Amino acid sequence: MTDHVTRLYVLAASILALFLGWLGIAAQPWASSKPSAQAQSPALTSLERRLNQDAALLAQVGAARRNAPQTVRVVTLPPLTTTRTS
Amino acid sequence: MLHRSFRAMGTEMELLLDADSNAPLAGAEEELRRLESLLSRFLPGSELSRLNAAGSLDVGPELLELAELALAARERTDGRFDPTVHDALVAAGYDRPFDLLDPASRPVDTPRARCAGAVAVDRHAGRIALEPGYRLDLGGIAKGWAADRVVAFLSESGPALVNAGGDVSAAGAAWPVGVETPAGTLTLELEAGGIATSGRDRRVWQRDGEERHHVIDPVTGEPATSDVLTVTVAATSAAEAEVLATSLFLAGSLERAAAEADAKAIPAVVVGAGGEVRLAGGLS
Repeated sequence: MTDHVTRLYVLAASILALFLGWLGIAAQPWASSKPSAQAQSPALTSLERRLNQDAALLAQVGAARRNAPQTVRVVTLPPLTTTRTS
Repeated sequence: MLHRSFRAMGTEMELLLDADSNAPLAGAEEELRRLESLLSRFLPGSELSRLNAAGSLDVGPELLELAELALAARERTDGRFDPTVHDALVAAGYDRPFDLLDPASRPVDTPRARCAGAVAVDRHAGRIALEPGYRLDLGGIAKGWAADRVVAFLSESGPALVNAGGDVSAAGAAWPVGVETPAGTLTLELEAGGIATSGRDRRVWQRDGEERHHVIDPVTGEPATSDVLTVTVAATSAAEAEVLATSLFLAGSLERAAAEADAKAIPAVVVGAGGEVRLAGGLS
């Protein structure tokens, strides 16, 4: 009888331990271990600023290239047609 | 080299095609005439005229696309290029096809027109709505846009060039395009894209004894005044070249136009009223 009760207690304790372990894993305690935003802020802000500057420069260069056809130059050939005020 | 010239959209059209068959040229002419029937502000039955009369209209894809292009250009040029200058043009006396204008004085009692009107384009519904009191004039961009459209069609058959009354669109080869200056004709070689000229050397008339021209300054609602005679621009398309040429013409002076072309890397030939010729934006 005593052995039977003991086995029941051990089984209940095992289930409880398993449940608590599962809860612990589900809580993902490692997820909160990343550094705070405040600690990374200066480096990230600097990187973000540099990337924004590069993007703006790229946009300016892109716009200038879009404005200019790849090949337009002054030549000494006689024209085939003429542009004029339209 | 195949060549075809005819009159459409109120100006001379010239098509050049390096191919064996004339059929594409006939198709291109037909397309330009079709676009004129949609986009002319002088044809009462055109889609544009019906929109201007009604203030709001369900329109086809061509007018929808062109209106969007013109409004984007207004945004990009800080309002210098403005498709709502219609009434300002009429007030200045340009109220009929230029060929029918009386070159002598023909006073018109029209109050000064406002510009920069609101235009709502609903692409999904295919509808354009104008702010009351405003009408659209797409003459500042339609010929270049049409030239781009037709050159894309022609270039499927070979190297092609379309000159729509001075708005040149080219593809497929290096095309020598002349620019008229007081010092003689300057030739720009263009492989792809467009060249256009804006100025007050043509489409000029008299009103009340004063010389008027067709480039309206949206700030004043009057023909622009400056020491610039013409601005020729090369860009990725003839439509874009038209927009940029008008925008530079309205920069206020020859110096400002040339400086702006340099700063924005816009290849440009700026001619002053005194005969000065400035190459800017990388041209030399």
